Amino acid sequence: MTFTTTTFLRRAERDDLDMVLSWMDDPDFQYYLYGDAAQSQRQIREKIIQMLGRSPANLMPPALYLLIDSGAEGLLGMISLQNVSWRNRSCSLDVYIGNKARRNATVAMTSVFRALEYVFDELNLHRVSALIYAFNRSSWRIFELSGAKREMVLEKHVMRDGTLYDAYGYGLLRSDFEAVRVRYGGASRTISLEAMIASLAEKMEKTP
Amino acid sequence: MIVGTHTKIRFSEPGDAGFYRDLYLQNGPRAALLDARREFGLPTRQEIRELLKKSESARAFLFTVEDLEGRLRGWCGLRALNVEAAYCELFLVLASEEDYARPLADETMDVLLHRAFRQLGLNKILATALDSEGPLNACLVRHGFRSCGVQREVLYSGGAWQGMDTLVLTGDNYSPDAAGIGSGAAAL
Repeated sequence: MTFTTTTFLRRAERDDLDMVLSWMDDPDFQYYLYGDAAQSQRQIREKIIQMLGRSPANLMPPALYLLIDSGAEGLLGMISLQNVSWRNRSCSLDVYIGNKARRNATVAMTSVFRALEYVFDELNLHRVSALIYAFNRSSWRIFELSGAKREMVLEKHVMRDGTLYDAYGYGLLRSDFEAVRVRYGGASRTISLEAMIASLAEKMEKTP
Repeated sequence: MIVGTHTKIRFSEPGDAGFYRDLYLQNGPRAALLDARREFGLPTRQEIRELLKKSESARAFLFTVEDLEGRLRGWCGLRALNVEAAYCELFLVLASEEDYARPLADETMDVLLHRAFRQLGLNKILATALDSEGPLNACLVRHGFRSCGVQREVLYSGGAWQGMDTLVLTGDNYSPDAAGIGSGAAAL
């Protein structure tokens, strides 16, 4: 698969619903993101649909839910910016790549970087937080490569299949992200998202 | 009511709403009173009263701290209970910062920790403190808590950024005598 920088974020349309619902039926969706076993698939689905439908573009909501669209190759996944504080200029970020065939480092990294560009360059936020389970290594590696610092380790914090796992609290300040942009964007003759992502994806694949 | 040497600790009552509201207004922001967005809410007495009336079950984990003369000194409790992983969050908000170094705070902590570890059988307790809450942080450390890490620049207040420390005490490290004040909650 060739990686494309035509990937963009947009609000959900009614036509997207079938695709999003199919992601939610995947056990991974609950395993990695919405892990409370007490919630039925139906409850999760209703919650997400409700959230997708109420993210007006012109208001200042406490949460934003956007789809990741790669253009010609279709929908990749969705991102949610939750606990958006317009006072502290902060939010927490969840990224889910629903299209399993496209679930690789480059696509995930492209999606995360698009989300972070949106957070810092458009929403003018100052900090992004993410709580990522220790077993979800690819996610926290991507977040680290974007400049985030592991600020907090919560030991034995989440139960999955009868086992307690650690969770990591990550924080990414605007200055952290800028430093990564300068560092990896500068590796190319032109400072570009393409150069930065290609460089970071290469680094991620070299350090399993 | 749990009567100790220095404190009386009892379940929160709707009539405490005015005192709780004042805690929001005094001594700057407190981690325990921030919402999920780390914003500093300013609830009205009516809103707090309604909340206390509505959540009868939650009240079993919310306590008012009084001194022996019956003066209201603080608000504390256990919340955000995670049954699967067996942990919850402890919070302690005292009206006077000096009280965090006094036996009043130690007795209160003993009651909360005893309830969490001995009565509820939890594995660990989390607590949070802002950079500006040094006395609270010291009180938690005195009772065996250790830092899990500081989240940088989470709150903008008074023209400056503040970090927030998350601390943990595990059941394995729980010792009722951690603060060196005797037999703790069991004696209250």
